[in-house]
Amino acid sequence: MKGILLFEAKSCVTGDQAVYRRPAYRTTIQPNRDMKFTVNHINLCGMSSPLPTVSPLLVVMLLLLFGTGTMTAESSSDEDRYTQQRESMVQQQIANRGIEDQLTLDAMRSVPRHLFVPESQQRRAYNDNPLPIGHGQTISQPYIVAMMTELIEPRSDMRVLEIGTGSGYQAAVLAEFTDEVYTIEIIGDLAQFGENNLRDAGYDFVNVKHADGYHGWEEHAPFDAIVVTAAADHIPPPLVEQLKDGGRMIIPVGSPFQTQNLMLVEKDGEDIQTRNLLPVRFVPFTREDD
Amino acid sequence: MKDFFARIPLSIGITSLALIAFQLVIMQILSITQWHHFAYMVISMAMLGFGAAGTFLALFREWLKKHVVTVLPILYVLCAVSMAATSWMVGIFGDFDAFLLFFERAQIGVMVFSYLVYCLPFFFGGLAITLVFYHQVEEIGRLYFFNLGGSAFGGVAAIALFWIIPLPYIASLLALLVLIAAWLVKPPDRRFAVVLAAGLLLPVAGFLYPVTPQTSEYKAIYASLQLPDAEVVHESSSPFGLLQSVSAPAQRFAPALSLQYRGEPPVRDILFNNGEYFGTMLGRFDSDERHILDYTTRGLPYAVRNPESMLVLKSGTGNDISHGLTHGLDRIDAVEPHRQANNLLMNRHPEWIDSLYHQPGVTVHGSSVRTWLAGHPGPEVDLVTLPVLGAFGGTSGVHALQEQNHLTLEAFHEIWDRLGDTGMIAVTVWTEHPPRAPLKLAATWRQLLDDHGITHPQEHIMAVRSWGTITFLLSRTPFTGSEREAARNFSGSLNFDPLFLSDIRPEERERHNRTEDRSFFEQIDQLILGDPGPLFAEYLFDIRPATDDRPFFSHFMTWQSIPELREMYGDDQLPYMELGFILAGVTLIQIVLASLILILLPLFRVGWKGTRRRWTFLYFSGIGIGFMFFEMVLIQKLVLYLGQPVYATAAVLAALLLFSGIGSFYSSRLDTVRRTLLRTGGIIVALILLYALLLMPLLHLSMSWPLIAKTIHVAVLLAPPAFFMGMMFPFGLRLLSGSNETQIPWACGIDSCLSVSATALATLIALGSGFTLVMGIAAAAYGVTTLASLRMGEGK
Repeated sequence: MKGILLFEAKSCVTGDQAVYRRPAYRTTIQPNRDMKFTVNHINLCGMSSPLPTVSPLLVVMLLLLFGTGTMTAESSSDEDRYTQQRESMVQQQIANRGIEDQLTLDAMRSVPRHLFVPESQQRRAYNDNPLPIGHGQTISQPYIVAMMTELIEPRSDMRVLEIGTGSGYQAAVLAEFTDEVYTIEIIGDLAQFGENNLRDAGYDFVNVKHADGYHGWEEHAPFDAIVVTAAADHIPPPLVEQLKDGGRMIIPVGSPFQTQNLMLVEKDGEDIQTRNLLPVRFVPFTREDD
Repeated sequence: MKDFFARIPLSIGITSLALIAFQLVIMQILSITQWHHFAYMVISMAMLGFGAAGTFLALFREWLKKHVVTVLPILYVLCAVSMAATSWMVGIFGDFDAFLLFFERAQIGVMVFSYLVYCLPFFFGGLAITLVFYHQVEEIGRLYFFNLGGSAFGGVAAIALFWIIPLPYIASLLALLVLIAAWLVKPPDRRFAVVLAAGLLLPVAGFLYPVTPQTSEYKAIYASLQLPDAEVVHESSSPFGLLQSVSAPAQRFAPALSLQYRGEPPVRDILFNNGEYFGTMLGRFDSDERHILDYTTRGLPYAVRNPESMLVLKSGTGNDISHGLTHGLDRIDAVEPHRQANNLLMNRHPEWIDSLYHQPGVTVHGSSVRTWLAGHPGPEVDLVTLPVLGAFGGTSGVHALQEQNHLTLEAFHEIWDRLGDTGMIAVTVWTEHPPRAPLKLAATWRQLLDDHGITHPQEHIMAVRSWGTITFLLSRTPFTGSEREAARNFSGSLNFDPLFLSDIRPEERERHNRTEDRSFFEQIDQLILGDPGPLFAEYLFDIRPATDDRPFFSHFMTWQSIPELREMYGDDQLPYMELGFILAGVTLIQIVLASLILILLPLFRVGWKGTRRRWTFLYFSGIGIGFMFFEMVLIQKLVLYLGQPVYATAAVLAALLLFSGIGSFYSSRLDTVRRTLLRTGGIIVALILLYALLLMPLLHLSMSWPLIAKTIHVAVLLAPPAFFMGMMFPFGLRLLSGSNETQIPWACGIDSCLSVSATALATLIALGSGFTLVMGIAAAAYGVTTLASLRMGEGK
């Protein structure tokens, strides 16, 4: 059996300023005829070391501990990595693009997006783009989710309806600042996928329904905000009805892999206004004369 | 042995027929599972199998030639087996989904594997044919005739098969044909019977266990089928595509419905063609109920005037007809080229649309728009509608490569000429960002009005927008004050906003539907009121009017704008802005790189120096490029002329190949001397240039002839250039056989590679500069061939 144990030196610089903390050497473990493992030290700093002989049992125990420790270290390092990516996502993709609402930023910072995508996509969960989640659906680009959240002007006492649960990510973000989140998904498998994701990520208080979102969720209407994440070529009249006076509805317009516009629908009594928003900073589509 | 060589030409003819038909089958399958331009990309790469065959032959020519009696039938068997196996093999590493190509890098690997799978039949078939050319170059005229003739019939055969046999079975049937070719040239060795029997297994399995094409998850039909209780209630296949009708209780028709609508949108079945939305089967509305489209911007023409007659161009499933009938129109002519859909809704299942097509005053014509307009002078109409442009959520630029002859400047001129005094044209566009289609439409109408000497274009155009769509109206006579007021009332009652009126006030434009992109209003004003020129130059997208020479209305991206767009949108999103255009470029790059390898590789075997290889390269490159460029322009022009795109393409291809084959056959009677080549090449160049100038005027004169007369006219037009073009390839091979026989396989490979490259290149040139330039390059390519013939084959 051959294995490598590598101990990293914090520093290995000779001279007055050297801070020598741990030796840096590469260790190979080789079997011998007596099934004793001989550990050879090769000191990369040019310092020689003796050749100790170690008990096999101790080595096995060390290996087991090392292995377990490695796995644990790997899991916690994965979590650390995701946390770092999430923080980076919030800073670079969201805050830097003008999202200022603190509730939104905190929510985006808290929700583990990687738990809402298929395993094959997890390493790209915090990239600046949508990701496919099956059934021709996507989990939206983080910026879009943040912008949609900010646009509904989140408050802790809001009652929010989401049409199109999908991965459950948007619902999880909404659930970070309010307990009253209702989400509907028309595709059965996706409804289950989203519900499972929400439960596994600790958002089991989110109300998930497998139904046709066209009719909204009348029993819990009216809603302070309605977030429509599933593209439809019309805005269902029942949703407009179930929006509170002064409420806001957000709908993305555009193919999932294209730059999407967000459309804000505001209800003020009988008057309903729409506003077509641009998700990226608007730049006129002209170029300088040559 | 004598029998063996006697049957070779027939075996070539059969294999050529099967290969071309197979190409069309894959095209159809990929159009169903993916999108048309992805199909084009995969097919283009697969066709390089012919080029690879030439390279392979160049590398192993002596051995192959020596064992031709054994090798040839085996190659046919391999061709048949790989043909039958494609539908299984292609899914081994998972389904390729072209929509994810720029997102999931793993798709690149799956795509490359797809290329290889589809390439195999062309490789084996091409190798067999090229081997025969090499082995019997003295018979090249006759052999090439069988090759081209077989190819000609292959296209026609595929069209017929699409009607008769379900798509999943056709590849297996074609594989059986190739096995017949193998049997024709079977060697005396009885063991070959075992090989043949083994080869039968896969085609037979293909009949017993056909693989049904699976549609991409990102196609419209997939979304419909995800709805609860959704089911496919009808499915039928034809050369026009796979038509499927989907029924689902949650499938509502309400495109860009007004937010003031309080009813329940109708639930209707949807018709899909190749997985893409074709139309909702809306049917009729009761006379006392308001039509659902009156709650969208498409109700504008009826709010402004009271038309009595209507022309619906590309009527789809008849929704505009339904709308018109509700408003009491007396006469409605509808033009829809998809004959299968027409037949379905008129004859087989008229109840799906409440027998709309059988209503008094309604006439449906199964023809392309331009052909119908040219052939039916007819009475004037009050209202002309065109299909809605774009789609909710965008189309990801999937139509960028499609020729849309009904949206060119010339088309609008012809439509304008059909309008009565108070006639209007109505076009609805889905809102998009960045705006492209609405601007291009405005630019086109402005040009149209300028061409007619109308000095106040703003009086003739109005537009209303909602949160989702914009409807533009173009009127022959200026809109009156009361009509503009009617448009305002219509807008106000439904939460729409006027986008353009001659007396529009800025605050009117965003009363109900605000936007942060106010430059859009300025751009519309500039196009209609001001000088469009500076905007054309400054705008990052090409919004110049489409013309018959560049009939790509949905093509907006330019090479110059790509760096800036990349900076704005990033590499990940840019491809989806105009996927067709990006893919055309990607296809060309792939083909050129692969062709370079295939063309250069044999030189390691045959040597780099001496033997005047550059002349061989130039000669056969010129043929490959020239023929394909000429073919593509002819198809574009003649499809417009004949009307039925599917049949017209097959007919034009068949005629071109057949007459080329006849020319090839005739070339055997001529001495292969340089004088002959010069003369033939010169005639070809002259004919191409003549056609570049005179073809369209000639076709225009006879546009109103009956279809039979037009078909004969096309055959007469195609015969001369095709006849002479068919001679150049056999001339070239005979010239080489006399001096540099080793280059023959290499020459075949060059011709194949450059033909495939030419397809991709021609598309890009046409997108940017028009088909006239493509024609000019075709002439230049044959000019190069002619000049190269002076030196090719000289010395060692």
